[in-house]
Amino acid sequence: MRSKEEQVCVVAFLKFESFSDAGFALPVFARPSDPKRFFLQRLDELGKQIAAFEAFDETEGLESLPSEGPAARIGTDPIYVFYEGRKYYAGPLNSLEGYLRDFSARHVRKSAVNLQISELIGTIDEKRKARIQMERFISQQSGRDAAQEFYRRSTLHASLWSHLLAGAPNKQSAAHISASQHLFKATLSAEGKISLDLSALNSAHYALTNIEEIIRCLEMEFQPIGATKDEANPAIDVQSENIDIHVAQVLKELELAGRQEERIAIIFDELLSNPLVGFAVLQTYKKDRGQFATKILEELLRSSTRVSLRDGSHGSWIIVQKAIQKAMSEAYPQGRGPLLYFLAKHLGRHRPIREMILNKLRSSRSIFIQQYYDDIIGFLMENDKSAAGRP
Amino acid sequence: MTSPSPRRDAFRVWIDNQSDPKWKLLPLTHITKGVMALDIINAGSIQPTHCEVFNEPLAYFFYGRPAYRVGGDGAVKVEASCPYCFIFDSALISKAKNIFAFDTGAFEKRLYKHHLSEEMKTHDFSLEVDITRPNKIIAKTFRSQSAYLDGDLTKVVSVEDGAEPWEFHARAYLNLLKSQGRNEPDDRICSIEIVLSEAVPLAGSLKAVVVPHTLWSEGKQTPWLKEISDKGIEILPYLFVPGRHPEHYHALLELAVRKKYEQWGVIDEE
Repeated sequence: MRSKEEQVCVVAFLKFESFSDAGFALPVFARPSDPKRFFLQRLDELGKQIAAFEAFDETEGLESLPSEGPAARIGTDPIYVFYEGRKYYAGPLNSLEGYLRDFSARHVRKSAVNLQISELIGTIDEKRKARIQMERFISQQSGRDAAQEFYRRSTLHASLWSHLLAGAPNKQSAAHISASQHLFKATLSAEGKISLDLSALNSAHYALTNIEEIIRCLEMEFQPIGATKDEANPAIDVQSENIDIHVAQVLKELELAGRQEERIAIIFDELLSNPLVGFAVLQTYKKDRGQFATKILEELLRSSTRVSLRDGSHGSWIIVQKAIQKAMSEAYPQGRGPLLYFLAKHLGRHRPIREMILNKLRSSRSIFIQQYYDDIIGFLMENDKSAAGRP
Repeated sequence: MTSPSPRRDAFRVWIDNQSDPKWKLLPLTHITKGVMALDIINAGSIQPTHCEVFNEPLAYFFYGRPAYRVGGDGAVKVEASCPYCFIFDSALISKAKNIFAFDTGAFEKRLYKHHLSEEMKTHDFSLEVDITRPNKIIAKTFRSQSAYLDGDLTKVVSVEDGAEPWEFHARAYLNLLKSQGRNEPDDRICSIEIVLSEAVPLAGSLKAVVVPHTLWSEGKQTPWLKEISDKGIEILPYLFVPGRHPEHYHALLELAVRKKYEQWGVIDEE
């Protein structure tokens, strides 16, 4: 089934472990007009959206829903099903988050399911704790070697894969990452240092991030409990009262900024530099006085439900890069020059953004962009002298 | 009426030109879905099942590599039926009825048709039951067990250096290994297949089972895994998070197998 418009509903689910009393299950879909013909969702290469629905013939073990479940179609967020006893919950991950958190709080000893929940919706700290809890259990059951193998290989590799996919600029790169992942190597030293061997990949496959950033994120995720301070990004550890003060300062700055292109650049900058502050600003500000900026804010808010900003700068990178792409395509031709100008002014110190701006400058002959050329280069030169000779 | 294919020894002659590297034999793997894994453990053995390729009951294993893809190409079901890997003692190879240079199932599905000519038959690529040949062919192509286990095709000898132009089967095989496009066959092309015609009891030869982590946790611990764990068989969990790409689970399973081999010291680097 490949029509993007056609809608299907969850009508049943298949438990992964038939003997288990709680956990995730496979959602089974059907068209409302043909409830006996089943489909499974297939996710896209990035694992973020439904790419297709494929026929599913097996009926053994299927548990039907008493009434039609949530609807989905190609291009929407994937549907998850979680069951607990006779109850079930179905929907996109963000709609299940509250229930899943509640389940984890009520069942702290269910380390395997809690690990799955943390991997899907948890903060860095929650993921780390869930992984270590699982490691301890495996150590008791299968010995220390198996436990270390699980923690230092399986969960580390899974996390590396997620970071690489998040950095993939397109579906082709994501597909290549998926196909090559048996050749990646990530090693966690006893001191908590990560080393990577990504020689099977070209850096263009993960162009939206870089090795240093991935290592930094992985080291945050895998450092021992208690050592959770993000030294590379002290803003993540800002106390809540400091966040409030900082948010107020940013809101004031937004009020004073005359152009909507500058206002969104300021918000982008906060999201990248201080994710907690940026996210708080986003939640507070919500609507801009300009139509274009409001549209971009809506995009930011929408994607922030999919990628957790609490995961620190990596999550915000993904959101901001998507929003910049959206801003460039949504801006009127005469607005693109000012947009690049303010992006360069506020975000020029971030290397990937700097490179993106330079690429835009190189590829555009628009008079609306060229008139800002010198000023943009000036901002970029301030941040990277090597940018001077390139365009 | 078609005449039976003649016996063709050229590929085996090419392999035997390689001296025996004297490496240790690698363990054998058998991958299946959860439901089948339960059947195997309940039965206490891997039973041969009817094989459409050879039209007789057979059980399939891979030499070292956990190469088989559960659900074949319809791997979308993997979330409900994750891959499980049984790792057997290498001595099991002595019971092989046949050994092939690659996955014969993929051959039959004509996944290799772009590189192997129509006239080449499955049995042309048989290593027969000579248990020195798996390591010889690895030495000849990947040059190390490590590269073979990683499926690292960059380490494979070039077609020109690896075989003479008149060594048709060897050249076709090397071309197959070197094919790396998106539409090319997956790593089953470089996975040596071991075929047994008799039931394989778990007792005495099964060394470990790789399973999704959700089956090996507190509370309702999977009883059938506990049973074999109590008999000294290692249970190796891999992280299973719903919604991931099917290849992802397989990669994590491969990692677990690879690490276990390192701990057992079964991989010879030279």
